[in-house]
Amino acid sequence: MNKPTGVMASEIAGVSEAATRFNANVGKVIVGKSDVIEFVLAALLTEGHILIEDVPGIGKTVLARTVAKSLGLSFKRIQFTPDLLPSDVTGIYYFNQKSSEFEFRPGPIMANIILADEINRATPRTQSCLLECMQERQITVDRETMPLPRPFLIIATQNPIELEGTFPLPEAQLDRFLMKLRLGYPSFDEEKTVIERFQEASPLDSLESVITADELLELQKLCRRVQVHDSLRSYIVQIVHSTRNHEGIELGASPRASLGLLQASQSLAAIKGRGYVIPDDIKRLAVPVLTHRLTARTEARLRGHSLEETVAEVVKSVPVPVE
Amino acid sequence: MSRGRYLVLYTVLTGMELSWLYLAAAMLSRLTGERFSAFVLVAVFLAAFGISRVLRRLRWRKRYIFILGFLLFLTTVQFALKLPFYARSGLSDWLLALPRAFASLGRTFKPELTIFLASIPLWGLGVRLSRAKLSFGVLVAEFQFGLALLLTTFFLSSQLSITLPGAVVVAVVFITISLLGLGVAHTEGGMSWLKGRNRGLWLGLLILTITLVLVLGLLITALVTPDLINLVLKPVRWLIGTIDRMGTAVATYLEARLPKIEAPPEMTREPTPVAEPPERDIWRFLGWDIRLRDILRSIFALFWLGLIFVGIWQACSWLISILSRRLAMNSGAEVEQIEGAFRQDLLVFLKSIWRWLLGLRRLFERRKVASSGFVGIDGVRGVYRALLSWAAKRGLARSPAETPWEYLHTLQGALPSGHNELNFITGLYVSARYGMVSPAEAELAQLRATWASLRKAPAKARSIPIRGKGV
Repeated sequence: MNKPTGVMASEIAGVSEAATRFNANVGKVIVGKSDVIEFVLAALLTEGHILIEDVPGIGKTVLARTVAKSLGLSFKRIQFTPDLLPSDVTGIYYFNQKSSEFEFRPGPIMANIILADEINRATPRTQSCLLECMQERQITVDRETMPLPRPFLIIATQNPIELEGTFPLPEAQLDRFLMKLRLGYPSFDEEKTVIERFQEASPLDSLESVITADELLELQKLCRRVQVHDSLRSYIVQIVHSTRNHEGIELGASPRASLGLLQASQSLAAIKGRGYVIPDDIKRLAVPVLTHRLTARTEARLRGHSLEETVAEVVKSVPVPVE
Repeated sequence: MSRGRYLVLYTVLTGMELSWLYLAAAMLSRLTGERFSAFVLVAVFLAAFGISRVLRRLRWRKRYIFILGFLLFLTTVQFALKLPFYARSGLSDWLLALPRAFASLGRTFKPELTIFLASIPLWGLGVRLSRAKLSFGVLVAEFQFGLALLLTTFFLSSQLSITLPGAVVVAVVFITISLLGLGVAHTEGGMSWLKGRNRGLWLGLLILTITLVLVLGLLITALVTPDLINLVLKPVRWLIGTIDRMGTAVATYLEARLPKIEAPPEMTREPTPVAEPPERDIWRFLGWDIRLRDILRSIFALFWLGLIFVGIWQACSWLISILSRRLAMNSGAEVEQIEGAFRQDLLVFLKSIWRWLLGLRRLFERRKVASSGFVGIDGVRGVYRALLSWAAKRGLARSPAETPWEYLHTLQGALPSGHNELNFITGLYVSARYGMVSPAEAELAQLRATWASLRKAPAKARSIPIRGKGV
């Protein structure tokens, strides 16, 4: 039996109000894309990593920078190239001749928000160094394990075109991203606003933070307390199970996907000012949370069915728990 | 759907049901020694249909409608008993017929009880007919069901050596009107097998096909005489006879070759005559009534009937799936055959009957005192359930994958005048159902008032177009 417990209305109002400030602040730089910004915030509140797959020049890097600045968090950008080594990401121990000791020089991973630009250009060896960072939020260098700063978020980008010379991310790594998002081209009016806004100077330069790191950590804890009805937990598991039995999917979603969908739904509910999750939250997040974790069958690919369409089909086939 | 086509399809559906019902009732009448006419039972079916249509228009509470329906059922059965058994009897004899039949159940099974028991499923069928939604799918299902029942009736009548009057005529009428009705329903959906300028001539093609089948049937009946069958079977008999003779010859040859065993002297003594055991009648020995043999034979017949029924069902399913796939392919859709779909449909139908029977309890249960803190939530959920049922009856059933907020858009689109009321009910339901937020007393009162005002819009609600016509 589900009893009304969990987060209080006043606490949730705080999350909702912070979300409004964040959206407004990011909206000063990013034109439109309110859905994407909401999902990014949900991922932040879930402490999940984001993979943005889109064509060049769409604003992926700008988005990551804007998010980092809005939260007053440290931001590092790593440009992934084929010659990038794992030590370039995590850091190395070097011998300091002055102190005659080995000292650790942390790599760019030691920041709150990491922009892993064109992650599919790096070799699998370098890509795999992110596995530990993303899951355990720690790095191991020379047998020494060091925790990463909290909050920690990786925003990775990749280009869906120009796949020559790239290394597709393995399933294990894709599964560690909470969401895969697409920004998409702006509309005519939006693009006009972009060029007007960026004509003289970048609004990013004058952007202030609206949420502190401590506040963000507090909001993350609050989101974990958002109520999820037992029938909705079953609904989530049913959706994920259906991806494993779908005829067009070779590899379905993992239990990590179920957990990710649950926690992201909690965050989205909190952003909307609710202390409980509703089925609409789950349906809205199903495509961004599940799509990148699936592998389509060859027949489905040849028929031109995208994974987004397949996930939408799966969601439509699972009954929503109503009376 | 036009009024004319609606009437045609309803007439076809009624005709299909009446066909097999009449034969089943005729068989029942013969079994009970023709103490009553089959038309009496058919009349019960028609009465159930008419009464159900009238009761549906009443705006009373469900329990009162159920009680009234039950009383009318008893009245109809009482009138059904009047003509065959109590035409010249007094009023008291007639009115006490059923109670007396029940009272004497331990000693004898009166034909009045046969009519009473037969009336129960007939009543249910009549009510079902009154609620039938006319579509190609429904008519196909009725056709399958009726065909299977017709064959069952024929098989049982042959097993029990019962002659059914007009059986062939009724069967031909059933098949003819079924196929005609299917043709009309088919063209109603705008989906003809023929494209272009030949669309709409499907009905003519169907009639031609029926005529061709009937002519071929008559030809076969004329040509395939017993002499022809004997001629065909003659070589088969010869072959079997030859095998038998060969077998006998081989056995004789082997017997001649085997050494004869001489019986020992003591064995040639004449055996002492043993008194033969008296011939026993197994049924009497077991203490069972001789009628048990008939019952067991009927069970055996029903078993085989069940197998034939399943076979026919499978054949019809296969045929229908081919037809529907063909139809869908013509309209450019991809069709995937679902294994066990008809079995699932049958299970769903049986489960729905069971749920309905269980649901009858609720009509007479006292309202349970809910645990404190959750009275409001149960109330809100009850209202939403009622809303779902109310909308479904108007052809706006919620799709299983629709959330309450998505469904709200559907409802608001169909009922713009109830925009605010629907929004309020949905909002309260979502918070109660998923957030376990108990509404305040004022909100509950507002909910009841809102629901009452929404339900009172029957005129507008009836103008809501029925969704999902046809296949």
